[in-house]
Amino acid sequence: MKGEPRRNGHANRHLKIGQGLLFFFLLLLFLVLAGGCWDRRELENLAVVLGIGVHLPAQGEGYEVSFQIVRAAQIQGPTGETGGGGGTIKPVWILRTSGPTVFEAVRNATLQSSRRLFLAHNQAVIISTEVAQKGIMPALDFFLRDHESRSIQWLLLTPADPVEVLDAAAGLERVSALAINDLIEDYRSTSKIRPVNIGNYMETAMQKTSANTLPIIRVKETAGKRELLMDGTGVVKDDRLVGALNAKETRGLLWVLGEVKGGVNTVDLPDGAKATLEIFTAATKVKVEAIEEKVRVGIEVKVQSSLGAQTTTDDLSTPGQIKKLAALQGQVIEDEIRAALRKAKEYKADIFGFGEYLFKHDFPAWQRLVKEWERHFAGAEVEIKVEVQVENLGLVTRPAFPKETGEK
Amino acid sequence: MIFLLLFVFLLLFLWEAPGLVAKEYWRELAVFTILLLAGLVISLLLVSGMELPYIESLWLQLFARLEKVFAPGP
Amino acid sequence: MEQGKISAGELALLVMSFTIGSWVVLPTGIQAWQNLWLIIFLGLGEGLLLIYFDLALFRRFPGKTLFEIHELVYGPFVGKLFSLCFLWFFLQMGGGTLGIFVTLLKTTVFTATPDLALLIPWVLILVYGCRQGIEVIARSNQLLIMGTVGLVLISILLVLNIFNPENLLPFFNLSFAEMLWISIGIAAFPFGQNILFLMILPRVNRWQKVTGAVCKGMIGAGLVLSTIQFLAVGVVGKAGQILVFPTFEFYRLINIGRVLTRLELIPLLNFLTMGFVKVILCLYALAVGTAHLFNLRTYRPLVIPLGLFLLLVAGRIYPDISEHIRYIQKVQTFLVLFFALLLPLVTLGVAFLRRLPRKGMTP
Repeated sequence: MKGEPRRNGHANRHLKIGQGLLFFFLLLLFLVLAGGCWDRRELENLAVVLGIGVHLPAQGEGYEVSFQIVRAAQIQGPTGETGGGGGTIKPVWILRTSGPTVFEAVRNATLQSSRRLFLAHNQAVIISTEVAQKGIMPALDFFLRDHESRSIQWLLLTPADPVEVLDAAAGLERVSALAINDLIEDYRSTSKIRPVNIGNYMETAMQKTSANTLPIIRVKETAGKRELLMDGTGVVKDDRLVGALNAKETRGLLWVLGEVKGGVNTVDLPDGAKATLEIFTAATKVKVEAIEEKVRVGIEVKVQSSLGAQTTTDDLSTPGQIKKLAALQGQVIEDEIRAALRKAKEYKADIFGFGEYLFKHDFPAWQRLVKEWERHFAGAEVEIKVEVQVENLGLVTRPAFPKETGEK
Repeated sequence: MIFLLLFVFLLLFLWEAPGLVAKEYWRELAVFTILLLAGLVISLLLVSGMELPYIESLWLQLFARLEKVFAPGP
Repeated sequence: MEQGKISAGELALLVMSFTIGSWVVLPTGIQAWQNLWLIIFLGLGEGLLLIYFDLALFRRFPGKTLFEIHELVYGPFVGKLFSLCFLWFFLQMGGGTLGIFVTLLKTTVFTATPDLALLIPWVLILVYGCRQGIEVIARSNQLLIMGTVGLVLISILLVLNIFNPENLLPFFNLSFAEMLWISIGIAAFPFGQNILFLMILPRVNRWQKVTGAVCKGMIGAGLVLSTIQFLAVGVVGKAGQILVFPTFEFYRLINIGRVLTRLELIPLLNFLTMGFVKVILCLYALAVGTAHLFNLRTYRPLVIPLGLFLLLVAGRIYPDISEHIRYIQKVQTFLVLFFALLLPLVTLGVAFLRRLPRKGMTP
């Protein structure tokens, strides 16, 4: 403690350090704040994009990109209209640009938009089947690379021009992109679509043996209005669209992936009557084994359901009938899974990630089979076990008919 | 730009030097001045558009051969 | 010269921050991906061995900086040559770290900000902090590292709903040689760079505790880095292999009830603070080292020009990020091992042969 002159011993030294620290942190704070101000962007100077569609132009190369931009002022009003006589301007503005790459198309939007496009809040990227047939990653690359765009944006497929989806009526929402978002998030009440975000897509695309799936959205005319409709799943192999699954097959896919979160199954009863059971909880266990060259898959599904509706006059509430219902529902579920398997094998697309399971749990076997995985996948033996427990009957036991048995 | 740079360096010098002179820290003043001049020269070169080599690129050129000898596998 | 003293505990925390420093932004050995969090421990073991061995030099000459040891062992002229090499090493380390942080900021948040606008305030704070002396640095670091560890612990909770343990499989699908090679890379960077602390150790108030403190700091850093990598793999999955900043990306995926999202500020803060400590220690070692080289009485006036050097190096460290990734893969390991293994080994050998230190050389 010699050398530089010191004044008053210990206390003074601590004071000095304290001052130093204070100043130091103030500077640090200043830095964080100042850095942010350089390309500061205020909300009123931004065009907030909520939905993006990627399409191929009718002629020539490149991409046609459409944007759904929200009009903030219109959104704030209670009914989507601005207070006194603001008129009924649509709360969104649809913009379409084109360019050799998606990025350039996005930048070209500045030629039409008075405000800079802001992508951080984008909800969904909608890709037309034409683009998907040509290759998805080239269109998607920008969204992965750009620092504003996020990998939790939903990725969807549409058979027509995506601009139709962006321009469709939003139903109860103000903006159709938000409606899409809600449609996807509500998949759990039907389990007939499979939500995929950009991150999921990239993740599956990185897996050597797996194939990707994308939910399909289309526009349906109802009472003169163009409404949105989620309709099945596209199968993407090696980054190209190769086929589609219908709602039933999509459910089968979800069963195998263990992503069924709800929904209903309708079973056939004698005399053309039907009963619909609601799925409460579902759990799936998948096991993939490779013995020599043969791939064996065991799928075990456990479901708890309840009776939601019946069209027969029979009393289904007896223990015997309930067991029968459970068995019937088990059969329906197995059919769904079989249907999905059949389609996947037809496309030779491992949408279930069986190969990835081997990679993770039996790496040596994976190394052995990876080269000809398509063949091994198509030849895989799949054993399905479904266990259904009907736990609940709803609020009534049997339909409101006089009981016939016993009182006759 | 060059004048701005010279001005900044002069400012840095005037910030530090008087204290050293007052304490008669001549050696320190000399080293400080030399280092600052070196920094000034490099800055001037950069500002005048001279393409100085990138440090890691230099190392890469030097080490590209070494790595082939040592690293295993593909 | 510097008169401040720090305690062994403060030293341990400094080592921890320094080690977390820039690795956390740009991990090495990314090809091991889902095994990397385990290989970090292997690298930590090798790194501990390496640094324990380097510290043998300090135990042999307690209370001396690396540069003083050089002059004792090789005589003033050759000793100064060795020291000069190390000065370059520190300069490149500090400038490189600064460069990486500018790249991180520019690719993620401040894309339109010019490099100098990011660099100059940084260097100003660095210079200011460094002139305050090692005591202030150590005390600031206590807060910064506590914040970082706290944020890492919080992030464990934040990612619970998006963490998929399956992503961590399969274990050990690489050949032993590949794993060893990657672990050596990690032992060199970040752990091997702790050789810089040979310039700071004499400032610790009780030199007997130094080895333990350094090891504790490295183990702490290893745990933090492994945790972050573990979370990144579980959250991002395989896709992380193609990300430039994988540890940054997983915070972008955090989504808790659509309310807690966009938490990029957490990693940014972690990286910035830890990198800051790393660069400031580099600057400190540079200043103290240069002062010693010219037998100066104080290092303080050198901080400004040396900070300027750091700024210049940061600007001319690599032309683009891909070149830097190539550098990490191909050069860095050798370069660090040259300074952290070979040179200390030679010094120790010569000291042993010359039967140094003789009596009267150490306090």
